[in-house]
Amino acid sequence: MADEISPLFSLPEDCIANIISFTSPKDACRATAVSLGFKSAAESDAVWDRFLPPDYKEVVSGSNSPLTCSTKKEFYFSLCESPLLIDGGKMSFRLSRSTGKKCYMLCAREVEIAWIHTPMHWTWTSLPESRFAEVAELLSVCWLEIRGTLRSQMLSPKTNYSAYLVFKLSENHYGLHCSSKASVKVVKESTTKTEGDINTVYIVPPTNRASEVSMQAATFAAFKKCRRPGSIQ
Amino acid sequence: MVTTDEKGPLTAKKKSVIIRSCDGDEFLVSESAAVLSTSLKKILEEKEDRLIHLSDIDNKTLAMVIAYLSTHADDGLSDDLKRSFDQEFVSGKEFDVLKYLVLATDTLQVTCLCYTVAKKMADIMKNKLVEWVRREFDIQNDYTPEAEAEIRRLDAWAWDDRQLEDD
Repeated sequence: MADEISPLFSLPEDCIANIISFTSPKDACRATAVSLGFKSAAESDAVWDRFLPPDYKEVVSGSNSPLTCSTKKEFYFSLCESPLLIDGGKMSFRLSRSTGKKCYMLCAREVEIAWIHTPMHWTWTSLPESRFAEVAELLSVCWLEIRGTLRSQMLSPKTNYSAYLVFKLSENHYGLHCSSKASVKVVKESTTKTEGDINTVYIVPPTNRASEVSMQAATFAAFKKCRRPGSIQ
Repeated sequence: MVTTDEKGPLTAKKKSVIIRSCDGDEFLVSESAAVLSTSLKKILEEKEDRLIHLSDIDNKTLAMVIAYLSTHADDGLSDDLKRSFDQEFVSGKEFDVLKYLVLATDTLQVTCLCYTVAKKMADIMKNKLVEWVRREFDIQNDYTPEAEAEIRRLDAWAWDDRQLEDD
């Protein structure tokens, strides 16, 4: 190869940037270690613009705290590391660092909670560690049901999504160690027919119950391949 | 290969041009194919001469680009056929060949092919070691060992969790 007489010595930076833009954020970060020229190409806006979701401008425009970043790479990582409150603080938006896919979190006010309007069952409060202004605090219920709906068009296409319930256990919680049912469904507006597997999850796992009291937050997940039409519940 | 083009201004409907590679090989190409390259289109608009000399594209690479242009200028082929031609076109090609191709398509401004080739190169480059990238792109490492270690430390998350390949 080295002996071949060739007109090519090295590729111009925009050519290298074009190639890197078809790899992944991880590959682009590693490419910065190849050489100074590669670093310049791998950090260019042309590369990171392609890793950002195509509609990121529209999503971010719903935020009241505008981001000030000098480069697209900086902007990308800012969206990964600091979730942005959008839609009047009703939900937060961030990017998955390794894929650039869109992730959302709904605030408690935006999800349907059974008995939420009955003060003896639920109350509204605020937590310093929550990104949202208000959180719902469970006092006591005999029927715990939480349902969140998101338009699937908001999600990144061709992506497997997980749904999580993010919560904090109070010191004196009780009765949460029994199994619960969780599912992610595609809901079509025109029909009430839904589909999706039902998984069994535990808010407090049946083992090591005593140690759970000190936990700050926990998540459980239900997996469902995202499809474009309809909503995700 | 030489067709009955170039009969003069009266039958100027299907004109062709001659494109010469840096190593002197000449290719007869229909103008409809040539103008799919933005650079060639500009040259043809600016000069009467039907001979274009490309001083930085070798004959092997030029032959591939012309095959691509001619296929895409063929009105008889459906878009689906052209798409499968594109996939076939880059499959199995050596990284070194793709490097010449991406540079040629960048120079000739054949945007679609440039993207197809760049994407193919990206697919090969994914999850490869930095040493592999330097070798395949003929890149001299111009970092000091300390500077390179610092770069790797800054983006530590990108290095930690997968098996990187060297071939």
